[in-house]
Amino acid sequence: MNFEPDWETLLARHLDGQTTASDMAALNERLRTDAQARSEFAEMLNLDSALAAMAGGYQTRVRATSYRMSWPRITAMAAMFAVLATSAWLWWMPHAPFATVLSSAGSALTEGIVLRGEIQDLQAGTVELVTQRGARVVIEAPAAFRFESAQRLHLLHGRAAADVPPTAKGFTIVTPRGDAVDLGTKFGVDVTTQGAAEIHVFQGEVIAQPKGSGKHQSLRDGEALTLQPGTGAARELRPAAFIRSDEMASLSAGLTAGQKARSENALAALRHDPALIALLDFESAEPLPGTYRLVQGRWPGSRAPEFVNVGDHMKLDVGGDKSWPRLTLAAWVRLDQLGEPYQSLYHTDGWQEDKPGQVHWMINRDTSMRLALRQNTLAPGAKEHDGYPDSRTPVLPERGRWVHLAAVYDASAHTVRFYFNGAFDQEVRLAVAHPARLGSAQIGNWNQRDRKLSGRVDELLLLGRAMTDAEVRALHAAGNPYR
Amino acid sequence: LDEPHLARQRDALDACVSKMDRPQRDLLMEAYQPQASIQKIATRSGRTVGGFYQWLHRVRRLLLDCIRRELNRETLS
Repeated sequence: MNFEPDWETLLARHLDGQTTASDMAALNERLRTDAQARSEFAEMLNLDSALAAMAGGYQTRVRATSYRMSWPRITAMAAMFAVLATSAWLWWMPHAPFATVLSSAGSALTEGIVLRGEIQDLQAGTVELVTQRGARVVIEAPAAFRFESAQRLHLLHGRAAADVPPTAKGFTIVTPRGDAVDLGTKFGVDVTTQGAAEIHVFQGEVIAQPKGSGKHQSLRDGEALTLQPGTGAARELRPAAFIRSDEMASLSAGLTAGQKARSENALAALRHDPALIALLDFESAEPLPGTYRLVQGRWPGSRAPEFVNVGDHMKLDVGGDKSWPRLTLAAWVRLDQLGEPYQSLYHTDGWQEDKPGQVHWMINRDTSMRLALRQNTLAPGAKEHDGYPDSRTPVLPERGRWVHLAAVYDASAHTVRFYFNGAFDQEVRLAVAHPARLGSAQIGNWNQRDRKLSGRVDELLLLGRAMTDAEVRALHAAGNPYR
Repeated sequence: LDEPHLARQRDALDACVSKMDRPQRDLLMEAYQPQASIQKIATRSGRTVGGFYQWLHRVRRLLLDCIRRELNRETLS
């Protein structure tokens, strides 16, 4: 992709509002170094604006040949000269679109569509836009938004992640609770359907302006804020909540390659598995009990629970009627690295009762995966110092993408086998291995202590047999949203 | 290149646009309407969106050449 568009192409694209980010850079460079290009650029913008002014009063009917248009005073021309002098010409496009769709993963807004001020209701998928000033914004459904200008995006609800170059410094996302003004960085804004808004700063600086209060607050790398009247409330960063530019290509490719259908076939097969205990895809109209947000899952228009605050959880009560000598647990998750002691994937209730075999599946502080059964003990010589079966590799990517986690427990073989994205990670040997007990349990929290989960869970599987390495690999391959 | 020069170019545009044949002029004016849907206009004119943008840029090129000639003619006369 190293084709350098020629001057005519760059010029044409800019006038039509079709400039890509690399076009922007090439155009900037050309204007900076070539006086003749600058001159022609000014002439073309001049022509463009004059045509727009002419069109405003134009009627497609025969008129007297000697009509005289009155040109509106184009005071912007004076501004343009100031702007030409400071090398920032690209602002002045009176009738141009505010943003163009760069890429789409399953959204109705497809590549090349230009946006102006109309409200967009994004029901499914994810879309990446570039504004007329070069800011790149990734918006995930469900979302409703509109551009007030190339520099102001109203996010009525949904989540947006922006990458703002110097040409778009000051890019602002407006929410029902206040504004996030970017000073040239990467940040995300999440607005719930109730209007609650969070700002997350990945890099650089963002000024948070809560609605109705005079107080502006500066947020930097790694900081996040819940917008509310007065000063906002600081909160933990949730990078996994946002899909960003670098993820778009592999998500689109996954859809194009037909991964969604492969996944549906795999789930259909699992539903007929005689050993199936539970398969949650969270698509049913009846949401499971608990406190959580329903947001988009791996597929455009699909649903997944998102756990955000301490106390968020989902209740699940399956498999309590018998004990399970062999058990497979698997899930697609999109989680933040928290640094808290544990993130709770699946915890059965009743720790105090000390029932042997009660299952606890979690992510540790060091982001390894743990499958602990009550009263089990490790075989002598085990490396795990906490005394519980842990995976060897960390299972949470720093940027919070979708990953597949699986643990296979075999009481008769005395083993726990861990899998990460379908690949076998390690096997931990046990001395004492009780059959697993399920029953009343929670995803995302744990009754005894405030263990939480930060992120989304999609497709939780509990299977009353030990899946083979090949089966886990196939499960991951079929359900992978990326390509 | 200065403001008076650009203003003279805008004045010359009037003459150049009136030299266009009617259907082309109408199509150009449609494309420059504030709420124009390029998609709809392109389809109605029998072009793809890409093809329409190509046409639009050709027209702008022709207009700019015409404007420059007009201004040259004025300075020579």
